[in-house]
Amino acid sequence: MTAMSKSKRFGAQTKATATIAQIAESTREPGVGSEMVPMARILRDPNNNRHIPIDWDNPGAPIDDDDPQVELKRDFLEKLEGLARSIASPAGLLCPIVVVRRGSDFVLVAGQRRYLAHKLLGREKIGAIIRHGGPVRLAQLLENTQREDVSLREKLVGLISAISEDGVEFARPSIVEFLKEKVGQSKSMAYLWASILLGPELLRKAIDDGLVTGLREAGSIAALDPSEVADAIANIGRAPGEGEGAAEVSDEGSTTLPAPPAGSANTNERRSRGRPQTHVVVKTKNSHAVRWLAEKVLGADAEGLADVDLNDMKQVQELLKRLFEHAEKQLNEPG
Amino acid sequence: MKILVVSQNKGGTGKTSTSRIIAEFCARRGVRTLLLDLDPQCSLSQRYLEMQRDLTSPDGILPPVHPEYDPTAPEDANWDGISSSANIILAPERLYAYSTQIPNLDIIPGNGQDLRRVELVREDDVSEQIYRNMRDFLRSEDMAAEYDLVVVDTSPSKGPLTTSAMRAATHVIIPTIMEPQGVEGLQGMLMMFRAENYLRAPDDLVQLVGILPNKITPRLALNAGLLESLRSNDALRDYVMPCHLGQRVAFAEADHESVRPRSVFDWPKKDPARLEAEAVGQYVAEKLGLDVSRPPVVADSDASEAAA
Repeated sequence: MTAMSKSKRFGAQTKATATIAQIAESTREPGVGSEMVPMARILRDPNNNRHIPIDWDNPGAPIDDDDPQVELKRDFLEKLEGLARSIASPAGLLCPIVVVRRGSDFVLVAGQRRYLAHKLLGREKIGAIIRHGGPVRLAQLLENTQREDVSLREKLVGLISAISEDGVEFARPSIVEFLKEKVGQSKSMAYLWASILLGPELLRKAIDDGLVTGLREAGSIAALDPSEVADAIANIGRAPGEGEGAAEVSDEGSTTLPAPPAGSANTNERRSRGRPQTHVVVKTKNSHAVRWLAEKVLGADAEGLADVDLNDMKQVQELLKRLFEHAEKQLNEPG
Repeated sequence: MKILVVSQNKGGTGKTSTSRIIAEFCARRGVRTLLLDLDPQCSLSQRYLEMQRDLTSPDGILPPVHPEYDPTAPEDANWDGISSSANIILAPERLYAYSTQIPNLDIIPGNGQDLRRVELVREDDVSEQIYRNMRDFLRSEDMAAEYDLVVVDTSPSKGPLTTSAMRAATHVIIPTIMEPQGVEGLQGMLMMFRAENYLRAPDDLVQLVGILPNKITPRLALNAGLLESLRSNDALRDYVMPCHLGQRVAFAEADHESVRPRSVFDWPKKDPARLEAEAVGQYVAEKLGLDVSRPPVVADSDASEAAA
């Protein structure tokens, strides 16, 4: 074999040079894809709206029987152990957590349970996508709104934080636009949330206290006239702190929710939707019964009564509405 | 201040010689330089300091007692007078650099026993503490005020010490021999470099000065062929340095205690080893953005010996 052929052979690409070239190419764009990040460098985000009932630093710690939240905690831990088992299985962690850089550490944006499951397993590193800036609260909101075990209060806190972070104007059109475009909510869902956000302060306080826990429930209260809100909340019949996910401590008359952005206000622009104070919806197919009722309520010689064509159901409907409005007026008259 | 880490997990690729060449080249041109020896073998430290021969220590050698150590002073009461790079982790309050015979060049020597203790750490939390201590030390304001360049010589491993140096580094250079095992070692090094940058802020990325081909014999088909294969690869072309260090017995001879002058930069100006070393020093200094335009000065000891 000649020296020439040898040097050609050694000058050809080898498996090692091909790997090195691949590494070098992928090194040129740092920040893409996921990396193994040491658990010790990951910090908890105190502003994450999701409540973790168990001990963050020692998730496997035994739960006391006397603990007021014993069931909630045990349930959470049981599910967490299930997740840990799946991570320990050959399939491993399927979806990396999301972190954002803060100095030489990383703050956990999304993946609190995956992080805690790694802690339970005593893992030293965790697969993470490292984000450089970008909307943190929005990412958390996106993850948390899809969850079933996140309370209405936690969702509301997340939403207010995400809106504040994004600098969305605190008015119905911009909030709806934000929820549709950035959070990916349906139009009806976006309007529902907007009405809760822009609804009376009393409602947000009730959500914070755990008095109102259902989204639809909150939506229907938000649609009420301000004077009716207090009664509606009282009618739900829950005690403060009773509802799942209620804030642990809430002073009388104040809310632990983050304040909505300025410009909003609890002064709330007059709601364009929602039930008017008087609104009569009645329907009939019996025109003679309506005629009889009208004579009793409005009087037999009431104005225009004789002109109503009983064969025209539209006119009958109008008459029925008129007599109900009259009756309501009579009933509301003092004395 | 620049922090250049000389690293390669394959052994025998010339990390210590490369550290020495770069540090001496820059220091002689007025760059205030600190050498940090993180290799438990302490070869670099032995080039500059008269180590204590102590058969009671596991390695038989220890760094010298620091000249400023005063056994009668109360503040030195709980100190054995030895400062080593392991103190960055074990006793940061007892960390002092030693002067060398070369102007502008200081060294913090290694202490084999202590460095191995640190290197054996496997617990994640402790490793993180090591990384933090190293970064806090090298990136401190005091260091920036004292030095323009820190050259860190590492051991052939990817243990906590090398990782900690990488965590603090602003620049990395990877000396490599042009043999299959040397090239294979590049895979691990580049992955380490890549992983470090993934964990860094965009404005604080480690810069790769380059892969330095070392111990090259141009007429050897294996050396020339592998070098050519790296330089002809589109993805690697920019990473391989245009200069190299040859396989020269002169570099090894310079380490022998009988050889004077001891620095390759004091050899005749046309000496091929000196020319190669200067080319490497020049290239690295430019990559680091250091001003090396001042005329080089001669080392103290050699000057005094020449005068004698």
